[in-house]
Amino acid sequence: MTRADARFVAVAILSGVAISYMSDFRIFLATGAIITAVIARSLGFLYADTRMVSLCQMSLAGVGGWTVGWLTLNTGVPVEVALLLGGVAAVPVGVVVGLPALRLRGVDFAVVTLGFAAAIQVAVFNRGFPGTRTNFTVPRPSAAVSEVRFLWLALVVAVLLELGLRLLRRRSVGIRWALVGKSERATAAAGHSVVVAKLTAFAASAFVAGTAGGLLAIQIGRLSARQLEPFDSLVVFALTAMAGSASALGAALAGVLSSWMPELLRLLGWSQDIGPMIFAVGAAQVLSQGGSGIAGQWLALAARFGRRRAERQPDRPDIGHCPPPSVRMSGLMVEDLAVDYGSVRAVDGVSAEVRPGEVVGLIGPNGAGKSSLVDAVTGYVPVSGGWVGLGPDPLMGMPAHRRIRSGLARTFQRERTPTNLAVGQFLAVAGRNRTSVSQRDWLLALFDLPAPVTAIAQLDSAERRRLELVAAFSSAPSVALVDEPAAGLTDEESGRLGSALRAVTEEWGVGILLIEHDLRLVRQVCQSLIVLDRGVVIAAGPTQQALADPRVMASYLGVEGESP
Amino acid sequence: MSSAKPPVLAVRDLVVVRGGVPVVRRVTLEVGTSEVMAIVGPNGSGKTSMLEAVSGVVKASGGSVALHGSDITRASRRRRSRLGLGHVRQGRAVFSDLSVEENLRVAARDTDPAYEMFPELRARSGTPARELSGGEQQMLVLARTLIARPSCLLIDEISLGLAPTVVRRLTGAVKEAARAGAAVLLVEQYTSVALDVADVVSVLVRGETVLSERADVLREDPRELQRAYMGAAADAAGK
Amino acid sequence: MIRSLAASLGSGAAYALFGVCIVLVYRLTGTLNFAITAVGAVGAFTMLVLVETGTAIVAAAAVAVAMGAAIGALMGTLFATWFRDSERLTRSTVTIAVLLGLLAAGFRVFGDNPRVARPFFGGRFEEIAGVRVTYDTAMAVLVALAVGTAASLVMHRTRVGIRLRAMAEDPVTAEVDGVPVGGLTVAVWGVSGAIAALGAILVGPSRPAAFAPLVFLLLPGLAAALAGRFSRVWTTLGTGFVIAFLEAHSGRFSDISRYRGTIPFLFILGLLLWQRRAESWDDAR
Repeated sequence: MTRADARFVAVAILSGVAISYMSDFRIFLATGAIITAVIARSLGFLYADTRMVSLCQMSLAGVGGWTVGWLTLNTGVPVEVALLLGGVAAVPVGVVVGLPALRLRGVDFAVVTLGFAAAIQVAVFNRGFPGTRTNFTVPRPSAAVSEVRFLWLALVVAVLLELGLRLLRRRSVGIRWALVGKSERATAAAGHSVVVAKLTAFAASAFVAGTAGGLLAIQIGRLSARQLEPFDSLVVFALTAMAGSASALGAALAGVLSSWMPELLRLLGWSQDIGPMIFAVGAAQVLSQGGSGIAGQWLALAARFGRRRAERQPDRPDIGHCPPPSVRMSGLMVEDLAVDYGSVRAVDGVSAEVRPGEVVGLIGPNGAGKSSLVDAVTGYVPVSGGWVGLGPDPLMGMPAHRRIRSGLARTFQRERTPTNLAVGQFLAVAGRNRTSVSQRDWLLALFDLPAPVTAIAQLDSAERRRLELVAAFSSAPSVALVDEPAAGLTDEESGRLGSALRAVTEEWGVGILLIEHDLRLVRQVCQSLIVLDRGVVIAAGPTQQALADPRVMASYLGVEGESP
Repeated sequence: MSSAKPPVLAVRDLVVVRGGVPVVRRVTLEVGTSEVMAIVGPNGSGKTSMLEAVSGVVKASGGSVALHGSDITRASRRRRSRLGLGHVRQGRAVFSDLSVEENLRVAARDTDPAYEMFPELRARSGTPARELSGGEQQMLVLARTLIARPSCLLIDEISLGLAPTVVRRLTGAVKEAARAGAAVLLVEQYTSVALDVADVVSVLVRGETVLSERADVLREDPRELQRAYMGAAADAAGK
Repeated sequence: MIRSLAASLGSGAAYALFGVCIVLVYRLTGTLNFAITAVGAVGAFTMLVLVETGTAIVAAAAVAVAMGAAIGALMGTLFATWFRDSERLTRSTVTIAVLLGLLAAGFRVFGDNPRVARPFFGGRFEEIAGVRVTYDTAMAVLVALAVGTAASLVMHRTRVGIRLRAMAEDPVTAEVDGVPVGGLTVAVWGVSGAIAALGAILVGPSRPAAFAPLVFLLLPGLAAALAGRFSRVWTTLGTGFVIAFLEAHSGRFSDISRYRGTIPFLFILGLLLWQRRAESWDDAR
C-alpha cells in the first residue's frame, strides 16, 4: 500500500464516520452516492486509461444486480458471496461488449456500447428482475441490515475495489491499459498484445460496475428496468466526464452530485426539474475548460502548489560499464522486401542485414520508404513480397507484438511515450523483465534521463524521445529499429546521443538499424549504410564509401542529372 | 529598400513553442513585392512551424507577424487569408475526397486560371484528388492557392518526393506568381530547388537563422551553403 | 410483410431523418450530437401546443421547424465559440448534458402527459394492395427522400457544399484557404435542428406523442447513423427505414418479438465488424 492509498483509505473512513451521524434517509442517500461513485469509477478509469468510451455501464451494473437477485432467490448462496459473483458474472458480458473495440474506435465504439445497453434492456431487464412476480426482495447481509451498517458495507466494498484497481494499475496488466490508450502501435512495440490490453481493461471495468450493481440490488431490495435505461448510462457518463473521469476524487464527486442534487433542491425549495438544467449549464462550463473535469482541475491546481521538479539522478560523472543481459543476440535478415500502399510501391525489393553489435544507417530523402521498411520488418504493415527473419527464425506472418517478443525493438518517428505513466512504469512494461533494475538504471543514466519515479508528462519532447530509446533497449533486443532519434536535437545533444547508442551496441551487442537525417550522427555511429530513394536501394556499403557516392549526394541535395 | 511602403511580409523575433520546446527561436525576416525568399534546413529545424505561425495554423508564442504593415499575429486564419495570405501546406494538402475541380472551387469561383497554369489538370478535373499522382496533387494544391490571388505566398516543401521535371513545372508557376507581384516565402529541403527559384536563401538550423545570403552569391560558391546545411558531413563527402 | 412495411414507414422516415441530422453534424463539424432528438421534440411540441390553441397546422409546423433551426443554431454557436479546440469526445459529452437540460425543460414546459398529434391530412388514406397507407405516411416518406436528395445536391452541386466537405476533411487547411469555418458550423447545426424538428413532427401521428419517448428515438437514429459510418447520408436514410421495418416485422413473431430491439443492433454491429475485418491501427504513422 502506498502513501496515496493510505490517504485514500483514511479519507474514506473519516467520510464514513461523518455520514454515520446523519439521519437514516441521508445515510441511504450517501450509500447511493457511494454506489454511483463506484459505477463512475468503472467507466472513468476505462476512459482515462484506454480512451474507450463505455455508454453501457448501467447495463453492466444491471447484470451484476440481476445475478445477485437470481442467486439469492434460487440458490442458498449467502448474499455476500452473491455480491462477489455478481461482479464476476458481469465480466464475460463486459468482454463480449469490449470485443468490437478491437476493430471499432471512438464514437463508433461508444455508440455500439449504447446499442448494447438498449439490447440488454429489451432482451433481459424489461422481462423483469428475478423475483418481480413473487415480490421477492434481496435480503441484506445479516451483519448489515441497518442503514448505517449497510453504508459501511458499501464503503468497504468501494474501498476494496479502488485499492484493487490501484494495485492492478501499478502492475504490468494495468500499465498496459494506459499504454494502449496512448497508442496501439506503442503497445505492440512494447511487445504486448493490443487485444489482451483492451479486453482485460473492459473486464476489470465490468467487474467493478457489476459489483456496484449488486450493491444497488441489495440496497433497494430489487432492481427495476427503469433504473438501468441506456439513457441512464449516458447520464452517468456525462456526469463522470464533468466531475472528472481520471481520479477516484472525480468518481466520488459524481456520486455526490447525482445523489445529493435532488436533496439540495428540496432543501432550497426549488423544483426538481431544475437539477438537469443546472447540470447542463455546469457541464458545458466545466468541459469548455478542457476534458479533465472538476476533479482534474482541482488536482492540477493542487499539483501546482506542491510541484516537484523532475528528480534528477545524482551527478553521474562516470556511467561505466554494464554487463550484458543474458539473452542470445541474433542478426536481422531482410530479403527482397516489398510494400505497396494501394497502387504505390513504397518499398521495392529491399534487402538488408543487421548483425549483433552492428549499427546500420538507413538514409535517404523524405518519402524514400525508410519508415515503411521499418513498419514492414516489425509487422506493422502487410508486405507484398520478400522475407524477414531474426537469426534462423522467420518472422513472416507474425503480428507485431510477437515479432517484438522474438527480439526486435522499435521506436517511432512521432514520439509515442505514454504521458500518463511514470518513467519506471513504462520501462517495466516495455522491458518485460528481460533486463535487471541495475541494467535499466544504467540505460537511464546513459541517455541522461531522470529517476524512474518521474512522471513522463514532466519530460520535454527531447527527453521523451530518448526515453523511447531506453524503452526499446530495456527489452534487450537483438536488433532495434530506430526512427530519426536525433530529429530536433542540438549538435551537442546529437553527439551525446551517438555516444550512448554506441555504448549500447558495444556493451550489450545489440544491433541497430538507424533511420537518420542528421548525417553527423550517421557518420559517428554507423559502420555501414543503406541509402534508399523512392523505395529502392541506391547505394549500400561502409559509411564513408556510401556517403561519397555521387548518387547519394544527388538524392539528398536534389541535384539533377543523377548518374544511372 | 528605402521606400516608405512596408514590406509585404514582416516577421520579427518569431518564437514558436511545441510540446514545451521552442522550435522557432526569434526568427526575423522580411519579404517584399515580387521577392522570393527560400528557407532551407534539415528536418526538424523549425521551417514548417515558422510558416504555420505566419498563416495562423499554430499560435506564435512570441514576436510579431505583419502583412502589408498591419499586425496579424493574433488574427484568425480566415482573416489572414482575406488579407492576401496563401499557404501551400506540407504534404500535398489536397482535399482527397473532392474532385480536382471541387478542390479549386474551395478557393475561388473562377477555376480557369488553374487549368491554364497546369493544363494536365483539365483532363482530370472530375477525378477525386486522392487518385492523382503525387506531382498532380502538388500542382493542384499550388494552383488552388494561386487562383485566390494571394499577395503573399507561403509554400512548404513543394518538391517533396517529386521528380525534377515536375519540380521545375511547380517552381515555374511560383516564379510567375512572383513576377506578377506576390511576395513568396518558401521552405525547402533541397538546396538546389531553393537556389533555382529564390532571390534570397536563408538557412534555418534548430530554429535559428544561421545564414542569409543572396541566391546569386550562393550559386557562385555553394560551399558555404552546404557547410551550413549539412555540417561536417558535407565537407567530408566533398573531399 | 407488406403490412409491416406500410406500418413502419412513418417511424422509418423519422429514424432516417434523425440519422441524417447526426451524420451531417458529425461529419461536418466533428461532434456527435446526442441532443438531436431533444431539439426535434421541442419543435414538435411547440407545434402541438400551437395547434391546440387554434393555429393552422401548416403554420404551426413552420414555426416548429424554425424553432428547431434556432435551437440548433444556438448550439452551433456554443460549439463554434467555446468548444472549437476541444476534443471530439468532450464536445459530444457536452451534447449529452444539453440533452438532459432540454429533456428537463421539455417536461417543465410541455408536461409529462401524452398529447394528441393531429394528422396533417385528417387521417385520409389510400388502399394499396390491400394495405392502408395514410397521406401522412406518404408525406413522411417523401419528406425523408426530399431531405436526402437536398443534402446530396447541396453537398455535391453547390459551392457551399464543396466548402463544407473541404471543412469536414481538414478544417485547418480549409480555413487557410479562406473557408468561413465558424459561420458554416453554425449553419450546419441550424439546418440539422430544422431537420430534426421535421422528423419529430412526422413521427407524431404514428404513435402517442409524449416528450420523453420522442427523445428516446435517439437510439434508432444513432443506429442508422452508425450503419452509415457517420458519413453516408443515403446509407443512413435507408437503414432508418430498415430498422423501423425490422421492428415492425419482428413484432409479428412472438418468439422473437421480445428480442426485437436487439435485432437492428446486432445487424449493424455485424455489418461494421465485417467492414473493418482487416487489422488496422488506431492512428497513422
